[in-house]
Amino acid sequence: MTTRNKSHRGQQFGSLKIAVATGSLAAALLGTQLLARQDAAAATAVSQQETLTIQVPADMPTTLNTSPAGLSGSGVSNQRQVTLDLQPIPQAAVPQINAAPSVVRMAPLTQTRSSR
Amino acid sequence: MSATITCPSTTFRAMGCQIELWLEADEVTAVAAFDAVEKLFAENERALSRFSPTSELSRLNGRSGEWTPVSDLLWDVLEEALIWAAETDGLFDPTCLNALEAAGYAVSFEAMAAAQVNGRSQTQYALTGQWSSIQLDPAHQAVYLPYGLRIDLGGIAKGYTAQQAVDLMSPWGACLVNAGGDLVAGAAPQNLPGWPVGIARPSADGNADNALSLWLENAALATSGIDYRRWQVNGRAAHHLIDPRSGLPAITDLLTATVWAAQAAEAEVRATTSLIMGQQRSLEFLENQPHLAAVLFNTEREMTLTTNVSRLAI
Repeated sequence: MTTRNKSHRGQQFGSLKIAVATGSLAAALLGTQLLARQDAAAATAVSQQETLTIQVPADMPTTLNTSPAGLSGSGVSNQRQVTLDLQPIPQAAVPQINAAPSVVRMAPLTQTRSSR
Repeated sequence: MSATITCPSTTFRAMGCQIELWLEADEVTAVAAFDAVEKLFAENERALSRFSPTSELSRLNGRSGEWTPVSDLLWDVLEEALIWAAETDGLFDPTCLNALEAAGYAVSFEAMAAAQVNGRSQTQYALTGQWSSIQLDPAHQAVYLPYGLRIDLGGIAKGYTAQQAVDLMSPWGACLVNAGGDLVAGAAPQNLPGWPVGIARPSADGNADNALSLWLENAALATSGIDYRRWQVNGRAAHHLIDPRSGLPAITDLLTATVWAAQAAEAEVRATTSLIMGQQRSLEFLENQPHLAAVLFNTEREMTLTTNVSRLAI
């Protein structure tokens, strides 16, 4: 029993590793796409108003059930569509640097002092 | 951005001190305005000087114990002085002339310096509340001084005249008056937030460095001090700021007090009373007066500013 359980767990962790690796790859691809879209935006772009929806195939589990039941059940599903609703990414706008208010510097014309 | 002010100016002596005027107007207008202001100072000095035996003030002082009709000018200045005496609970007191002369200030400061006059013995004149014994009769524009009481309108008369000078010149353009160290400004010069003026460090001689600079617009800046007008009486230092509570030159830890106010009379009175109160009490008072700003120098020559000064600083 112990040997069989260890073997079963080993298989599950193997699947998990694959799922994590695949997930990382998918996230990297996702990030690349987003960066590409940002680069395409004008340099002075203002923040996007619409929500960006990206559908990507994912081989990773959406949940990781670590309970004994989960480990023994079908907790890992493959070839699922994951829909990510991403909030608009604030775009870097060209900073509006206003010139500092001009400071008038001049020597005093006269001075106040005790009577003399 | 640097800026300069190029406008006509003039200088002359009146009321025992140097008067300087600036007016942002063309030369012809400025010359006419300066002439009018110089006449104004001369007329007011003739009426209000305690050093001239023929002045209207001296005649009033010589007629204590009886009702005396006075001119509009003397009436206005005396009334203003009494209002401020009441406002300051007598810490500003125009009835200090006997005490001032007893302290040695019986002739003009220039005459004292020239003759190396020292004061008489420090006779103590109890002044407390004497201002309230002066009676005014508006119906006849007459004044009653109790017997033996004499008044000095020195500082407040100078501030009053400087304010009159600004009022006189203002219709012609932005203007500034320096009356022996008391400044009164009209509107600001073109393209500037005010007239750039300095606050002098205490100095026993004629020259004094500026400790800081302020913009002055439609306001006054007056300095009272014991750094310059002082002398010896029986080997002891004396000065011209009498503490009405003692009748003697004020014992104070301040060398100078400069006060900014909307009107010259208040700036003058607050500067004088600050000096008499000393550093701690005057700071406590001034910080609770949002319409005033002040710069104090103590006897260690350390400078203290009230919070409002930052609004005016250049």
